[in-house]
Amino acid sequence: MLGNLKIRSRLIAGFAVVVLFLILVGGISLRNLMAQGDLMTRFFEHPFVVTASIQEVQEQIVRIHRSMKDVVLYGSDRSELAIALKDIDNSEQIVYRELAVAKERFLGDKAKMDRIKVLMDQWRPVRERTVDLVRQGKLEEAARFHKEFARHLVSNIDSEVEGVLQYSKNKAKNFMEQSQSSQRSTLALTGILICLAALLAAAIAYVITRSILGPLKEAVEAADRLALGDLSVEIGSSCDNEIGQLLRSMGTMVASWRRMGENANRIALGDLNLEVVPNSERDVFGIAMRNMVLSLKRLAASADRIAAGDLTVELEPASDKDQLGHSFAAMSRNLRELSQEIREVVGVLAASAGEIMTTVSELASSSAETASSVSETNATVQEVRQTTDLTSQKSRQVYESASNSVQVAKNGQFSVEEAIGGMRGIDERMGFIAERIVNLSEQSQAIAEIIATVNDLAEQSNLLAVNAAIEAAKAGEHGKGFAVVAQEVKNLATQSKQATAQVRGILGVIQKATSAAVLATEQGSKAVENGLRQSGAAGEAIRQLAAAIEESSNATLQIVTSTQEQAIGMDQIAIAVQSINQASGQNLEGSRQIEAAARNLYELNQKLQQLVSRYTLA
Amino acid sequence: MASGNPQQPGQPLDWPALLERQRLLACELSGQEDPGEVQGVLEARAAELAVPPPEPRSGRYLDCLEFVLSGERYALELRYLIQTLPLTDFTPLFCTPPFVLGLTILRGRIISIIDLRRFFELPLVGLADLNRVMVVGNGAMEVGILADSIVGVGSVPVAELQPAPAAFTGLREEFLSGVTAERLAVLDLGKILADRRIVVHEEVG
Repeated sequence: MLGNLKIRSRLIAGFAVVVLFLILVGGISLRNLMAQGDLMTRFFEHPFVVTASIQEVQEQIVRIHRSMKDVVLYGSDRSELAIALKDIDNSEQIVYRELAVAKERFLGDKAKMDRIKVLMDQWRPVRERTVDLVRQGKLEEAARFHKEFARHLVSNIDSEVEGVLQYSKNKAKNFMEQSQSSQRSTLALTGILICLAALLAAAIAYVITRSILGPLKEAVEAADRLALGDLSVEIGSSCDNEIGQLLRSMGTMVASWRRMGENANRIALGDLNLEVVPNSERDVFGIAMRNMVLSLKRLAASADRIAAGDLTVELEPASDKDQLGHSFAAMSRNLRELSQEIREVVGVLAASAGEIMTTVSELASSSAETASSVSETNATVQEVRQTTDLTSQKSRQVYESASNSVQVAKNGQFSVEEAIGGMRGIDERMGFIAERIVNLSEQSQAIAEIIATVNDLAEQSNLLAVNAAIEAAKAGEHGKGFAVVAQEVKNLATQSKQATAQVRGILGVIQKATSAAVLATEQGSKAVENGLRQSGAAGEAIRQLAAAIEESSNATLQIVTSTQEQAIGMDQIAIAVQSINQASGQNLEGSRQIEAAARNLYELNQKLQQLVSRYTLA
Repeated sequence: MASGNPQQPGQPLDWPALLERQRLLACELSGQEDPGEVQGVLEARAAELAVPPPEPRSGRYLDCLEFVLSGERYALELRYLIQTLPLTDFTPLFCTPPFVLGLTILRGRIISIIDLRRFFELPLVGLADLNRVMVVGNGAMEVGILADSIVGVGSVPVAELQPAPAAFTGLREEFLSGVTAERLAVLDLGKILADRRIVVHEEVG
């Protein structure tokens, strides 16, 4: 139904429907608002005003009643009376005015208002009577009168006023409920209408969108397939609108592309026998295809000439960016240069092949020589191996003797230490001897003292002997025997003296001898000190000697291990030389094969020269 | 003894010989004498004692005590001699002639000591021992005469005495009895003791 309508017409129709609906909703809402306003006005004019007036009336009646009590109580005071009467008059006027207002607005029974007015009119003469009694000074009578008539009257008025007030309050409540129900109905109606309008707008939007999007989606899918290069898509539409036109144009375009694709396929398969006719003067693809075919035909012709061996062909590239043209030109140029170089290289190769042949012959003869040399080397290695064994044996002997030397040096060191100990002992004994000799010297000193005593004794004996001789001479003949004895004593004394002289001489000799002995022991002690020092030096020398021998022993041990390793190494060398011997035999064989290969190479080169000569270069 | 067999340096010491010598010396010092040596000593003594006694003296002899003074031998008669004693202690005496050496005490008696060298006015040559005193007296007085050493008692034949030689002059010649053939000067002690010059009598104001 909508298919043949233009998109613009569809949009206008939809929006018009929605706007009409909105106007309808607005009208209904406005009408309800006006009804609400009327209700509010009535509410204000009637129950509110009547209630306020009746309440004022009630208050003023209370005031009049109170003032009357004042009149009855304080009627003796004229000023109080005047004030009270003035208040009563004021209140009475206000009561009548308000009653008139209430009667005008009152919606209920207006007779109630008239009853209140009548009662007020009845109260007035009662009050005047009471005032007259007061003025006459009959206060008690006035009070009794007021009590009898006024109280009853005022309570009647009050009950009437109360009835009016109750009626007005009920009326106000009724108005309130009416207003609330009206408001609720208005809200419900407005809500329903808004929902309906929204649903309608949504339905219209859906229908319009659907009618536009269906064909558009078809066109987009076709365009996507075209973008992926799929030209098998069939596009067409019977519709009259804008999308139908778009789809028909796309169908034409696809047909054109399909034709062009077929041409490109033929070119890709190498079929250049086709005529490309552009659709119009501005058909870029068609013109480009035509030029491409022409260019390819030119290239194919040039390639044919090159294939025939004519390398003199020169190709001009179609433009600066003609990669294929440049490549082709470069290829033909490079082919020319390559052929030239190959020709030169083949010449050089011919000479080299001849040289290789002679060299290979020399190589074969030198391989034979190498084989004989390797045999000689093998014999030499065997000899060196034997020499190494001998060296190992000798170095082992040297190591053993060095170990013995270390032991000997240690013994020597021990001996030197013992000698030093002995020297120390000698030194101590020397000291002992010197001390003993000095002791002896001291004892010979004692002997000298004793000898001095003996000498003294001998002197005294001598003197005694002389005295005895004197006494004997005095005795005369009787003293002769005694004189002989005295003479003997004298002789003994003389001998004693001589003996002491001898002893003194001997003591002198002993003294000299002891001095010499002490000196000799001192020299001996010094000699022992020297000996100690020299023994120490000798010990140090022996220790160093031992260290040196130990080092050389270690070195010899290393030599032993080294020579063993050397022997192993010589064995390996012998094996290696054996291998070399075999390898040189193989070398000989290989050089003969190389000779044959070189001959083949020479023949191949001859063929290559013939092939190269087929290409013309200029 | 070390001096008996000096050890030559460089030669090995003959220890056994040395020890033997030491052993012998020890034996000797401990009294175990060598029997042969003892025999020799005994024989020597016997030979000495076997000298025949001197011939009996004839003529008149003077028993004299021989002593040495300033290296010359003198003698004095034994009859004047009381005693000899060593000069141990003496007290110098002032205001006396030079020949009086001083005083000493002998058994409670005070004795003056006279140096004959000064008395004879001999030259004082060389060192002298002068440690012997011969106490002489003639009954009247006692005096000590200094001597270098006392040789001993001997007898001098009076006949052999000769007059003093020319070398003895002055007081020495005056107090000399005579000189023997062995140049032993015999002093006339009686004359000396009797001489007034030996008596000291001086007063000092």
